[in-house]
Amino acid sequence: MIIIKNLTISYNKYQRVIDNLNLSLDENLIHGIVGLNGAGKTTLLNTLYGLKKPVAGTIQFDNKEINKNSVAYLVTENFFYSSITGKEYLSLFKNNEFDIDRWNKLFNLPLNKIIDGYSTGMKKKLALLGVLKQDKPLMILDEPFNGLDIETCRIIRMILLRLKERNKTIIVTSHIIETLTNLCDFIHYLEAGKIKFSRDKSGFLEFEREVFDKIENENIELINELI
Amino acid sequence: MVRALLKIRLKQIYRGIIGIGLFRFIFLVGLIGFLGFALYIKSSDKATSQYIIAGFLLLIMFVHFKRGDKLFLKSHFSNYKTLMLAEYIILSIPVLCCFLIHKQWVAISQLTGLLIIINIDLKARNSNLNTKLQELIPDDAFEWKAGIRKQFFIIVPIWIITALTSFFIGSVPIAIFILGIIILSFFERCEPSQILTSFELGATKLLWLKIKRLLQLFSIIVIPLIVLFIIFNIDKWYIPVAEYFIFCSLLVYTIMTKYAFYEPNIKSPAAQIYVALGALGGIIPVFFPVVWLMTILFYSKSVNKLNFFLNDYN
Repeated sequence: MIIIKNLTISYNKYQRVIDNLNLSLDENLIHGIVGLNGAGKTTLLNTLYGLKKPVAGTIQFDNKEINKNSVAYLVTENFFYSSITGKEYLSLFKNNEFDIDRWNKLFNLPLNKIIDGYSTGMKKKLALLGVLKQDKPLMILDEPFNGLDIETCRIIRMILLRLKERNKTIIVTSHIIETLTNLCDFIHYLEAGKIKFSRDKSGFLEFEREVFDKIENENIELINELI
Repeated sequence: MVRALLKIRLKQIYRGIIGIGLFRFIFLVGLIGFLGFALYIKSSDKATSQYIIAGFLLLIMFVHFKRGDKLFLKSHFSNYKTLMLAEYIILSIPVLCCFLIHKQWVAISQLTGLLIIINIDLKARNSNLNTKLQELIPDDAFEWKAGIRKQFFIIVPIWIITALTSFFIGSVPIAIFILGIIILSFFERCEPSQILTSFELGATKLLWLKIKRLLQLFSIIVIPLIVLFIIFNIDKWYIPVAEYFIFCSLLVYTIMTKYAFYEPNIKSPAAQIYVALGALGGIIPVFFPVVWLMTILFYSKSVNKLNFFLNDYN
């Protein structure tokens, strides 16, 4: 189980991006985190992985403080080191059992070409292969479907569902709710630095309606004025 | 439109100054002042002013090829060439003033070369070169794989020509100097955090791995040339050997500087300035102990910096 207790994250002393957040995530399931732009999704994930220090609070995984040894993290931006090939990038991750060429049959990446020439989608696929190669019990995926075509989105969904069966815990964010309702066991709605509500599969429809209604109600007047 | 863009540029410069810090900014101002004074003195001579204008135009051409905002300018401004010309003219004001004071009319007229530069639209192509050399480099030495790929057509010819001409006394020392400077540039850019953590090593172990690889790979490139030099010029054996040790120290210093100022995905301006100072230390031997001292200081700073990312692997 992942237990987040009283987590507060801030970039300066005046503004808290995550404010006293409490959340429990069951293991071997896929958890989606949804929120509008600026809600704090990436900051939360960076902190879960250890790229951002919290001001207060604790994060535990398997009754121990969360540790990079047990986490693979797909960052939202496609940053790679310039002038190395896809194969050279993947060779940096330790896992001799991972057959790069067989896995690449799913993604068809030109692994012997340098990454600088890859498209956005190709870079995302390569980063995903890197995460899969790490084979960690907890996978944190920040916007894994960004920039990908329908086929690859479906393939990734199949992979993630299979990984869940193999006892992996997956945390995934997306700004497209449908990609999460098709995939996740739980969805947690992050707003203004707090988890406003969590829903299991039976509540996804209601969740979608709630989120869309909220957005529409907040903006309808202004849109009416403008158009 | 030109005014709006220049205003943005001024803001970018201001943010850059804030970013590099007061101490390094004062140092930079001193350096620019010194260069300006040298420019003023040297531009009084007609022949030298020709070299100055050639060097200046080459510099602008380099900036023009390297700048990453060309697509932005092209897609947002119909008169993007005028904007680029305005920027280059502003950059040429110090040179122009010096030439005007010394009445170097020929050199001033050659500044029209800027009109040609703004019309050159070449794109740097990514090299997909995969050779046996990259395969021989260990997987963890990604900076070397990338660097060798980028500089392959400079490094390999220099190495071969030097090997063939190693009986000339100057050949090997000059080649070690050029290769050393090229290899220094391999460590300019900081890797993304996912590459840093991919090694699953603690900060100390990672730094020692980097140093080990650096010394191994640099030695593999340079030692055969030193051996050839010693065969032909045995009485001067100490020249390339001393140079080898100076560059080993400089390269270790560069790695320490890179990680002391590590931020994912960036070229740290602070690290670049310190590396440039260190390279000066390599040329002026009196300053060399400072490089060693700074290496020790930056080692502990690097460990502290990397511990934030790698403490779970300790």
